[in-house]
Amino acid sequence: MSIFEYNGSALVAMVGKNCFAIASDRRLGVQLQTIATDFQRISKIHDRLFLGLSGLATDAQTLYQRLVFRHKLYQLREERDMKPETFANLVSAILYEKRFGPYFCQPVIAGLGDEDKPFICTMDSIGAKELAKDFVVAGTASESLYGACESMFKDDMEPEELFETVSQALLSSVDRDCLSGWGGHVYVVTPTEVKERILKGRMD
Amino acid sequence: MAVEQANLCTPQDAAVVRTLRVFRDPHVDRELEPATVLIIITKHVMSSPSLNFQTQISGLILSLSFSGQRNMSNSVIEVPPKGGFSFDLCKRNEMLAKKGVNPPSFRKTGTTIVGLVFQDGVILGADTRATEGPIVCDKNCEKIHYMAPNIYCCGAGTAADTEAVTDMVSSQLQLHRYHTGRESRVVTALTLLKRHLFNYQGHVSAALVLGGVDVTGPHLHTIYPHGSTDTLPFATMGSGSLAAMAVFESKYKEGLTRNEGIELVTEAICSGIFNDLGSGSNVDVCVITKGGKEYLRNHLQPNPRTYTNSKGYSFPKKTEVLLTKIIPLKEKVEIIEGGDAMEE
Repeated sequence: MSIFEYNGSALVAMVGKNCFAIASDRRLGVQLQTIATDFQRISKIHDRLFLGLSGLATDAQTLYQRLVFRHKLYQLREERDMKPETFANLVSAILYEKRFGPYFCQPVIAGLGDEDKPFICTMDSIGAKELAKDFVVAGTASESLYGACESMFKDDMEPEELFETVSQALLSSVDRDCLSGWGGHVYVVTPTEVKERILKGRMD
Repeated sequence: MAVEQANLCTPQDAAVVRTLRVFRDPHVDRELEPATVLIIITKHVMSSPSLNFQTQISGLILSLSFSGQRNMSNSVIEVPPKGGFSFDLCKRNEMLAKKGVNPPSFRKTGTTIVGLVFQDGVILGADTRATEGPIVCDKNCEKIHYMAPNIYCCGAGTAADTEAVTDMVSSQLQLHRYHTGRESRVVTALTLLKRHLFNYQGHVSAALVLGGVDVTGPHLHTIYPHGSTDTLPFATMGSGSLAAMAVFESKYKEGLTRNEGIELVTEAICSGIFNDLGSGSNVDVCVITKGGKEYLRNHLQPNPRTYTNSKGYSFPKKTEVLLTKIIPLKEKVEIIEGGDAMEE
């Protein structure tokens, strides 16, 4: 069994019109046994930047703590928040540093950059960045997510439509994956507000 | 924490201790590293060079060094490292592998990359597909990396390795340009790359096609992951290299013009795109001459998406939501200056 399939996860981020959505499933398992159904995979770095970490949960937590530390140092030195592009570079560097003994995580970074332009990016476990203009996926359900997002995505969606699209893509993909699911957690971020919603999904 | 016991005589000291207190991050449950504290103190010293402050600081540093000695044995490095690879997690990963938990596959750019020398310079070409195992994870990635204004490098192999190695050598070339005050030469980039790759004995899996024009003329080189290099008039690398080389071997001749060169490169990449499963999507071309460079991103797009439904998906039945939480972000408040200038 691959190390990524130890805990199970599903993450997706999508770009809309001056907004973005980032969504994850809620299951935490130890191989085939579910041990938590309210696991938080997406964390806030600052008001306009969210980070989702899929893969091994312990590495995800450690990596998150390191990144929060580095971001706080940055805030003290620069007296401002990090831009999403800069943060993506930071994550990439931290992951590549461990090239020959990597963290078993795949991050998904989503944020609003200058002039409220949405930015999404994902990386593999050693920091190879993939900047996409439409959507990015990660986790055990990633193959299904690729298919679902590819067909459901449209350009320039408004926040409400974007939420609907991301939720449908996430729920339909995790339904085809044993290791992720048990509901969904969606954040839709616009320049004025952050809407956090918990979805009802299949509990199997 | 020895620092907090120092006498606070000046407001600047209070500011330093306030900053240090902030660092007691609840997530990071350990003592502050002496090095971290020094960084903070230096920042404050540089911004307020008063004599009183400096005398206080020496006292602070003295008390710090004592506490630092005691804590050295059970501290874990948290400050930004000095650079290079860190092998902390190798032992743990080996243990996991023994237990049957396999390491993940990295994103590769199963690729077709080519380069050729024409009469005025060098043309580089690449496809744009990035794969993760059998899945295409990026349909339009950039494989032609910038090294210097007159040098570009195409990368095949593990994506993180090609990106990291080209970024690193690009920075080294920039520093070298500042030192020497001259335009970078292609052989400089070549030597830096091959030394780095040989150093890691092929574990940094980056296969590169390096091309550029400098004072000595146009140059094209290939670099293999173990550090060997070749200097050639035309070169191909990646999983699609055989398909592309077939095109080059039959149609290449010396003294090609710019348009002939671009057409040949495009044909070679297309051959890789259509015949090799690891390459696909679009063709990127980069033309480098003595005058400058021309980066033709997505020069040819032979695989457009034609099957999308223009109406798209619509979801009449909404997803069921259990809980909604709305957090308003701070709105930028504009202060409008009212009133006229002062009147006499």
